[in-house]
Amino acid sequence: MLKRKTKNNIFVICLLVVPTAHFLVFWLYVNFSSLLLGFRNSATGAFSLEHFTRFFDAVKQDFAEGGGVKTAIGNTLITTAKTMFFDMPLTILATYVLFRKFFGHMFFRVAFYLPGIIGDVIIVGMTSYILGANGPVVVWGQKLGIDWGFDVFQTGLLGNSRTARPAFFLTAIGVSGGMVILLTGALSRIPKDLFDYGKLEGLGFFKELYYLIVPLIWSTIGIMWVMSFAGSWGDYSRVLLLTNGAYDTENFGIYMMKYTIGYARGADVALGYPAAIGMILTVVVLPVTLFLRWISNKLIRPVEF
Amino acid sequence: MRWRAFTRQEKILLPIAHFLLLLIAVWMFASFIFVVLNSFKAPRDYNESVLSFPKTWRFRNYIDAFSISYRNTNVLMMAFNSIFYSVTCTLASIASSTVAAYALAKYKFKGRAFLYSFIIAIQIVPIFGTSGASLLLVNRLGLNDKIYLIWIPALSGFNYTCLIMHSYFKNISWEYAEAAFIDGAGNLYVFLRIMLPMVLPPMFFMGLGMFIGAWNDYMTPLLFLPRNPTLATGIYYLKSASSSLQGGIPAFFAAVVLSCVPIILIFAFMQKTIFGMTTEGGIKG
Repeated sequence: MLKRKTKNNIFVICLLVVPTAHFLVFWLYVNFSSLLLGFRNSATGAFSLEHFTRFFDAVKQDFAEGGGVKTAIGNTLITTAKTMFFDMPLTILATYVLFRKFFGHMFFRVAFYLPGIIGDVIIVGMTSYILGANGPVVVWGQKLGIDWGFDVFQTGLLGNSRTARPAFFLTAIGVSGGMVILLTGALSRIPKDLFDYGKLEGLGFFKELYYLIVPLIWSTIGIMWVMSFAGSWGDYSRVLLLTNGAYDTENFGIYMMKYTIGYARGADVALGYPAAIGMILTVVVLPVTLFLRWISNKLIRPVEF
Repeated sequence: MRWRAFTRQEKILLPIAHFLLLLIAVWMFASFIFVVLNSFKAPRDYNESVLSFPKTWRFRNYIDAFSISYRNTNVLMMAFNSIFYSVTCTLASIASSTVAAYALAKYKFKGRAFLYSFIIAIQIVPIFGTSGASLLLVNRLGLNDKIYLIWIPALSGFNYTCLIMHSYFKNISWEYAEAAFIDGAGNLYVFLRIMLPMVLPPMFFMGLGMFIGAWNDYMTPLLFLPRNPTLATGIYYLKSASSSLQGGIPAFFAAVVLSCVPIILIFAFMQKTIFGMTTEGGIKG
């Protein structure tokens, strides 16, 4: 008869064998393999820095003459700033409206959650029809007196270099339903007494939001703020669905991902190149992420309650 | 809330805030409303005007939608692929995460604290550029294009779901287990018959989120199931060829609407669960 401790150990091993095996194969091996890919010559398989050299040459050339890498980095920085300084405050405001059940909160609840439920391929993908040559934005804009220019009536707002980039970024401003869920969870953990005390102190809604709520849930906001920075560098979905990176809308995520997509479609591409870029990006983004986390904790010290 | 109770500042700022959020909400909804409206038009009506209501409501588009196909896979088959992919990946992931969370929460073993911290760390640390290596691995394992095996890469146990389930297991008293052990129950019995039923609600909630994510995932099937497209992948591919499909763009829009129906129904029936779970555990004692 086995001892209890032995039985427990065997049970724990049984519980962890599948997750551990998965981790070893699909995380550890994949990351190690990606590392090797980045340092391997495409033709000979020998150790080589060719992919890194290729990327740094591309950076030098594109920054000097204007090209893909410069555009990708610029667009990613714009997206990051938009997410951190426009989308996040709007999401916090939306969460507060839902939490306080202001007028229209049921409509806003559906409106902000539904895109996350339906998915990018529909919500984002179908936006291209709305911004198309016969779409409501172009047609109604013309009726309102906007002079789009001849090219827009042929290609739509996303089909030419002049309007694609501004249209892409302006239409990307929004509220993240997923973040609203996380922030709502954080808000619900605030003791109700604090809101009562705030009322007694004469806090109106916006002062309550600014002086009470944001500091109390700052640890959640801070994490989301920092993760949105890191996420922007790998995100490619919106670009892929709307423009495929054409007309100067390419970002860093699609710059890396297009090689993998091409390979999956049978193209002869060197997967070591995006692997090398990914390594450089990880090395650059990780310390910046940690630095932003440090800044977010310095901006507003997380309050424990 | 009475309008008179608001301060002067709030009477100015609240409508501005509402207007701003309304603009964003309308924009976020706009593409879906646009698609639904135009899915009932005849191709000629659509070409004439995309903004007007349908002159005649053409429900035939929804029949034509079923004849749309990509790589010899019609919409019904794509729907089957979507259901199979979403259900199997969800079950695989939730099962793996739950057992990992239970082991970490309830049993003391060497390296437990390190493993828990490591799981948190890998959620936070951003790692880029590994999709190529993932693709090569899936090819090497012979999983590529095998829809009946695509759940294997989804067996991830050390993930965000594991952390959430860990917190729920931590809140369950071990006295239930000890009482069962005294009665002669084993570890497996305690897990399956005592602990697991107590965490079914959060498991269901996390599983729901995973299912929705898998249903809407177009990139993983695009890379790993090229000849077995799901609805999301099919829509992605067909978008560029929508005008040449049978029934034209309106029929394509009808296919898009049909692909949303299961998810919208789930959202409609599970709203209370979804929103209720976000506030659970919020009241401090």
